[in-house]
Amino acid sequence: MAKQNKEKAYKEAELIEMYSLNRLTGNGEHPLMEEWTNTMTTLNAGEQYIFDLITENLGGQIMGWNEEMLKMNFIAFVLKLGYLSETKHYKTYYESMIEATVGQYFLKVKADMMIAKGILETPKTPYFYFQEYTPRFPPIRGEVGGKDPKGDVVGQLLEAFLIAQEKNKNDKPLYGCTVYGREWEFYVIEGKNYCISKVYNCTNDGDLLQIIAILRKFKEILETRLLD
Amino acid sequence: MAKQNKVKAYQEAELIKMFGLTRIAGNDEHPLMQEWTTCTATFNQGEQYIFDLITRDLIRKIVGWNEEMLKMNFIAFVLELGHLGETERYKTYYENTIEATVQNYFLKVKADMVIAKGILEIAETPYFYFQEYKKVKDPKGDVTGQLLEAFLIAQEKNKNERPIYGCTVFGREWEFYILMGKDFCVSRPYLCTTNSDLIQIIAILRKFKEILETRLLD
Repeated sequence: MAKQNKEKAYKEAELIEMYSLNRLTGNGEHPLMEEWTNTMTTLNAGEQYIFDLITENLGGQIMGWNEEMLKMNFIAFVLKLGYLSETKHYKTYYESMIEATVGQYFLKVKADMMIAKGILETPKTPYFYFQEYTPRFPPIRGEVGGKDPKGDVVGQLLEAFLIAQEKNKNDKPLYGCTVYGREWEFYVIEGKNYCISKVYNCTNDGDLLQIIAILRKFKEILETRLLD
Repeated sequence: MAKQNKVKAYQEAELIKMFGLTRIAGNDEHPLMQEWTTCTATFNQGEQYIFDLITRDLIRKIVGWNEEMLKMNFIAFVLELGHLGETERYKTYYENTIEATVQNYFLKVKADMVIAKGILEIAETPYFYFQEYKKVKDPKGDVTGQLLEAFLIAQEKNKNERPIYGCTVFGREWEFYILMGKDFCVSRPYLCTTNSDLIQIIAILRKFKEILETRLLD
């Protein structure tokens, strides 16, 4: 019987131990991560307008934003530039609660954003998860006795991956991304191996363009290999 | 002593009765509403690109969106086109819980969005409230009641005679509101899936920015 504990939010290290996961870090450390991040893109004039709009004074503003401000002022636009809008085959869902019993454990997590096949507002087959956390708001990272919020956001993403593996019932990899203030990191899980990309700083224009390129590349991977 | 009831979400009709408000409906029924909504907007090339991006296939997509999807796919862009980004003098806050005791009633509401003067994440002097109807989280919620509560709290906190502006979004319908003293005026509804109405919504948001910067700020 699964250990049902709805309140438990597992940390990355706990999930590694519970599911014997293998953690890889670096863009060149897994062929799927290498394929995904080894990409580039260009912006047309309209896209460049949006890019300039959202990056104007971003470095000064971003630290005063909470999660909702970050989403409405920035992330919504980056996802649009990354072409992650809905099509007939998949859709972008926000704040979806997902759960499954995986191995011995009951996992439940709220996914900030996910790209999935679904019907109206109900996601069915997830392909990509996105988790967000803002460092300004409590708990403070590194605080004595406090939580490590970054550890938590990776834990949430991993939980979402494990739930998706269980639900999708195929061997296809899952993709994802965490946003921690200005830091963006990309994730791939395939079987027991998960790989974390290098850190991209969205307040750096070169890094932000690369973030957009990686999101666009995911769309290509999704449409050519992940969809049934 | 104030009647403290933190969970009570008042309906529009209850608030009208409790606070002796007068409800006025129509763009021309109050001089401030007439001034606010009689406006036009034009787009530069970049803005036209954004407009085309968000309106493409909107009528089909909007039906399947919950409030979070509506915000991330549409409202965020409309606010940007409405030039409601932060400046050094005011800022846009999201999901801000506000409360005050107004004439013996304790009011508390979570404002979806508020334009206010503030310090970092603390909103201090509110000028504009935005409420979105939440079918999933709050199916029985009265979005106009929530907006009116926010208006009354702002009147109490700002302690001046200046009007408070706002907007509700109920699916594809946008309505604009002004509270001036005991009078609150509601505009005609604008349908965001109709391009001409959406341009008008954007014009009205831009006009608010002008009103804010010329008359509402200290």
